[in-house]
Amino acid sequence: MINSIKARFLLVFILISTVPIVLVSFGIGIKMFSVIEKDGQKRLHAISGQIGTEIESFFEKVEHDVRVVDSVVGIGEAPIERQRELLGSLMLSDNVYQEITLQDNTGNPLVRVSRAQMSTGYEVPDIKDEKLFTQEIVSSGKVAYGFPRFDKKLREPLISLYYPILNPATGKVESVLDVTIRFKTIWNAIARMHDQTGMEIFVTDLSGLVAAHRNPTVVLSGQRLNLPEADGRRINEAGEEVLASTQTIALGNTKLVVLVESPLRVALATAWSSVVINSVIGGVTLLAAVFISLFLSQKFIAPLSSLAKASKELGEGKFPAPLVLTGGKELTQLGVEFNESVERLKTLREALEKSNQDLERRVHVRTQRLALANKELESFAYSVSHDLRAPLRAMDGFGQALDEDYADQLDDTARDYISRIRNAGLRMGTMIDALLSLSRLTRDEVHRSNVDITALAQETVETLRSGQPERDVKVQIASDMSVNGDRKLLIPLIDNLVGNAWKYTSMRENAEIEIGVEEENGEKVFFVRDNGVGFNMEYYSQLFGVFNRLHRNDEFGGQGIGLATAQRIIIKHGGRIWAEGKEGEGAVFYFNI
Amino acid sequence: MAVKNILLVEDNSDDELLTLRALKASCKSSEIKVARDGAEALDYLFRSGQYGDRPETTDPELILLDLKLPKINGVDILKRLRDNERTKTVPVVVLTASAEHRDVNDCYQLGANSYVCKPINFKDFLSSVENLGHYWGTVNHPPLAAHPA
Repeated sequence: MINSIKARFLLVFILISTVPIVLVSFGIGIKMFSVIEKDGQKRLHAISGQIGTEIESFFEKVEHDVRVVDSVVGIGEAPIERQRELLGSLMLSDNVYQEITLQDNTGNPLVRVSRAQMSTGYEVPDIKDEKLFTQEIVSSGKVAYGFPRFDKKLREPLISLYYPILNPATGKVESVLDVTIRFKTIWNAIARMHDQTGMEIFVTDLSGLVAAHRNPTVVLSGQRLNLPEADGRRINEAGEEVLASTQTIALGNTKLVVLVESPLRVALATAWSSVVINSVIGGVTLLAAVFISLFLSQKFIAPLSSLAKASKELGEGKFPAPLVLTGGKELTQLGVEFNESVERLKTLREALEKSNQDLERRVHVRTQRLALANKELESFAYSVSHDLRAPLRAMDGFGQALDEDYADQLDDTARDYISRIRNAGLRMGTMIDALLSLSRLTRDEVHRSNVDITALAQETVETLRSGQPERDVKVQIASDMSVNGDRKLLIPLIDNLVGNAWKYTSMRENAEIEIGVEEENGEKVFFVRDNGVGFNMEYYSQLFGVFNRLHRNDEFGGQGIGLATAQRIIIKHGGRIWAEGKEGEGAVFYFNI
Repeated sequence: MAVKNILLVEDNSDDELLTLRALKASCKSSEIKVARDGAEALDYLFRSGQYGDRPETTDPELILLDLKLPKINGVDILKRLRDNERTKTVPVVVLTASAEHRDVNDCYQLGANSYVCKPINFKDFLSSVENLGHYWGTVNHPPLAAHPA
C-alpha cells in the first residue's frame, strides 16, 4: 500500500481532478461520435433525397414538354415540315435537348433536329442496340430511358428518352421520339454540392455503373460501384470508411440511383477535435493537479520531516534547535509544543545529571567513610583482641604462681578455685578469638562465584573422619550441589553445620548424616540432617544466639558461636537459615542462598 | 658468664611481675632493675634526673625493652640508646605485645638485637622469657664495657 503522504496526496488530487474530467469527456466523446454519425447520415439522406428529387423533376419536365408536343400538338399526324418545326421549337425551348429524332416504329429516323446541326453539324452517335430498344418501346408502348452516357466529343453527359407516339385511332405506337437529353445541369448541380468535406455524389444505374460524377474521368472509366443496400456506414471503393445514402429514381422503365457518400473521418473530424481539446484540458488539469499536490504535500511534509528529524536527534540524546513549523495553526502549535517538550527534557536531563553527580559524590564519600570505618574496625578488632587478652595472661600466670609457690599452704578447695580462675581465663581467650574471627569473616563484601557445595561437604567430612577415625558415621552427600556465593564464607558455613552434625551424633551407635538439596517453589534449599541428640523446638529462639548453648559443656563442647556464625554468613548472602529438631531423634538445618 | 645488670623497661605491673618471675630461674645471679616508663628508663640509662648519682658500674649489660610505654615509647628510647656512644652497643631485646611489621622493622633498623613478641598464653610466655633470659643472660657474651669495671 502507498505509505507516503506525498504519494497519497498526489494520488487523491489526481483522481479527484482528472478522473471526472476524463470520464465526462469520454462519455461526451462517445456520444458525439454517435450523434455526429447520425447527423451526418441524416444530412446525406437529405442530400441524396434532394438530388433525387431534382433529377426526378428534371426528367418530369422533359417528359411533360415532350408529351405536350405529342398530345397537344399532335406531332404524329403533322406533315414533315411541321414535324421539323415542332421539334425545332422543342429543341429551342430548353437548353437540355441535344438532339431529337422522330423515328418510325421500326427505328428508322424520320425527322431529326440537333443542336449540332445548328452549330457544328455533329451528330450524336447512336446507342448500342438502338433498334432493339425501339422495338421494345413499340411493343410496350411505355416511355423508356436509355442508359446515361458521357459523350467524349461534346464532353457532356447525355441520356436518351424514348417517347412512343400513339396513333389516336389505332392506339398503336406509330412513331417514337428519341430525345437525347443533356443532363449537364444535373451534373453541375451535383458538382456544386461537392463541398470541402470530401462528400462524393454518384449517379449510377441499378448495376452501379457510374453515370454522373463531378469528375468526368470516373464516368469515362466505366467504373462500377458496389451499391449499398441501405443507408449507413460502408467501406467505399477507395477503402475508406464512409457514410452513404442512396436514393432511387424511377425513370420510365429504368431506375437511377443517387449515391451520396461522406468520409467518416471528415464527419468525425469535429468529434475528434473536441476529444483532443478535452484531452488537452485533461492533461493540463492533470499537470496542475500534480504540481499543486506536490506543492501542498511538500508544505505539510516539510514540517513533518523536520519534526521527525528533531525527534530522531532527541532519541539519540542530542537536543535539537527549536523548530518553527509553518503551514497552518496546528503545525505551528505542534512546533511550539515540541520545543517546550525539548526544553523540559533538557531541564530534566540537567537535573538528572546534577542528581547523578550528587549521588556519585555521596557514594564516593560513603565509600571512603566505609573504607575508613572498615580500617578502623580492623585495627580496633586487632587491638581489642590483643589488649583484651593481656590480662588473661596475668590471670593464668599468677594463678600458676600461686599454685607453685604456695602449694603447701593451699587446700584442695583453694586449688580448685585457682584452677577455675585459670580456666575462665582460657575460655575468655578462646571466645575473644572466636568473636574476632567472626567479625573478620563477615566484615568484607560478598564476592560471588560458582561454589561446589558437594565438594566442600566431602572435604569437611574427610577432615572430621581423619580427626576421629574410630567413629563410624554414615554420610550421604547429594551430588552436583552448587551455589553462587562467596567461597571464603561458605567453607566455614559448611564446616559449622556438618561439624555440628558430627558432634551431636557422637553418642549414637549408627550415626547418620545427610547433606542434600530440595526444590521448593523454584528455589534451591540445602539441608544438613542428622539423627543425633536433636533439640527442643521450644528453645528455637536461642539456637542462633551468640554464645548460647542448649547443652551443658560436659555433654558437648563448643562455645555456641558456630550457628551464630552460620547465620551471619547466610544473612550476608541475602538468604535464610532455619532448623527443625526433635529431642533425642535428630535435627535438620535448612538454608538457601 | 652471667650478665650482672639487666634493665627491664615495662609499664605493666602484672607483666613486670611475671617477667621477673620467669627470669628468676635463668638469671639468678643478675641484678634486675625495672623502669616503669620511658622517662624513668632514660634517666636511669644516662644517669640523669633521679638517677644522677648512679654509679657506672651499675650500667645495664642487657636491656629488655617494652615498646608501648607512657611518656616516651620504646622506639625512641632505642634511638637514644643507639645515638649515644656509651650505650651504642648494649644488647637490647625488644619484648613487646605488638607484632606489627612496622615496629619490627623500625626496631631492627635502629639496631635492636632481638625482637620477641610476648606470647598471649602464659605457658608460652613463661618458656619464651626463660629462654630469652638464659640466652642473653648467660650464653651470650655481652660487649666489653667502655670503661673497665
